Amino acid sequence: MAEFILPKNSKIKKGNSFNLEANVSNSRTFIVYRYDPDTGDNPRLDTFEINLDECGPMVLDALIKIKSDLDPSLSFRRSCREGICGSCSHNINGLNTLACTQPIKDLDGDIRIYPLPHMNVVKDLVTDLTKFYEGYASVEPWLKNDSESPEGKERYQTKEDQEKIDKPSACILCACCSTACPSYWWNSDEYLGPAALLASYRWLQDSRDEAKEERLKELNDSSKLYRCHTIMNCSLSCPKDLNPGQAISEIKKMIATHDFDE
Amino acid sequence: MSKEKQPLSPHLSVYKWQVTNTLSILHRLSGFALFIVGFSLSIWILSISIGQEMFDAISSIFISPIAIGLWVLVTQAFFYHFLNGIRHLFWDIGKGFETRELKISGAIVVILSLILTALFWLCIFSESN
Repeated sequence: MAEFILPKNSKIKKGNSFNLEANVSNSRTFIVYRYDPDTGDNPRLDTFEINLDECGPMVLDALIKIKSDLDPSLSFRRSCREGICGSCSHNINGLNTLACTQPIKDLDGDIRIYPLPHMNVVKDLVTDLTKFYEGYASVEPWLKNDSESPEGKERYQTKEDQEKIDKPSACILCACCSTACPSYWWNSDEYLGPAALLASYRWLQDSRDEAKEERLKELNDSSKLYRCHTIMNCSLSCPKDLNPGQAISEIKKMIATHDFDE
Repeated sequence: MSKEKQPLSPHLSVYKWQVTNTLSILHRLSGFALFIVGFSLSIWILSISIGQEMFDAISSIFISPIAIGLWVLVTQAFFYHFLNGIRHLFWDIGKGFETRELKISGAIVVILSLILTALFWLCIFSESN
């Protein structure tokens, strides 16, 4: 049964405030979710006022500034700061996106930064992605082909065939889509979620892969695939402009039209 | 550290209500409401078999001013659920997945359902006068 209300230990309390001393014209308030596993206290919301004249343009710049100037205990994941590693995905003003590609000036009002929704929190903005990666691994995201490659060379494909997998291959596994999906929130034990299904679609579409039937049989399951109810939060949240919702629909169509050997 | 002690990050309470998740939950709510209404309607019809008195008694509840207000909501739920169902059928054949299309088709469904509900009740009231 889906639980709509946060468990007792996850209720959010009021936290600390860090205000600017001088009156700064170009300032912005950041409200950040904090959780300290060492104390075991309930999560809290800390408020940080930032002088934007002394801060880079993106939300990630603000997080880094908070960590270096105001509170070094703040934990968050980040690496490439250019939208390709998929580490700094957060819920920012209600939408999942990458902090490094989200300009501060495009956001209205106080900026609220939460961890990815409905995940176990390790510390502050860092969530436990174990189950998410397990879902990804379960679709066996690698080439399956037992036939000899032609004359010991690589397996060629046409330009058109490559274009079919260009977009789904661009997924960076940031988990924005899966953790934007209410169905994944309530059913992450069994439902694979948009990111893993997009990965599966990428291999189903690959002209060199010979395991289409095996992959479809594995996905033809009321929970793994059909817990998708076409809510479409996934595609709206993707920071790489991919369309996992459409990919899931294509997989459903493949299963409906595929002639399975018994 | 045990996993049970880890807090769950907020979800429904923080996620933005966009056209996608809002219309999806309304589809479910309207579907559930119509299911309940189906039961109520069958009770109304069954009351005929009990007799004139029972039918009159139940009818008086069903056409009371408050009930009429509820019937307006029910027809709104019906037209919304019907039109959004067609939107789902388009998705089932793989159409309408672009971000822009998602928003436009959602707006069309909401506006058209409001228009159909208004037309429906205009017809009912002009008939009864």
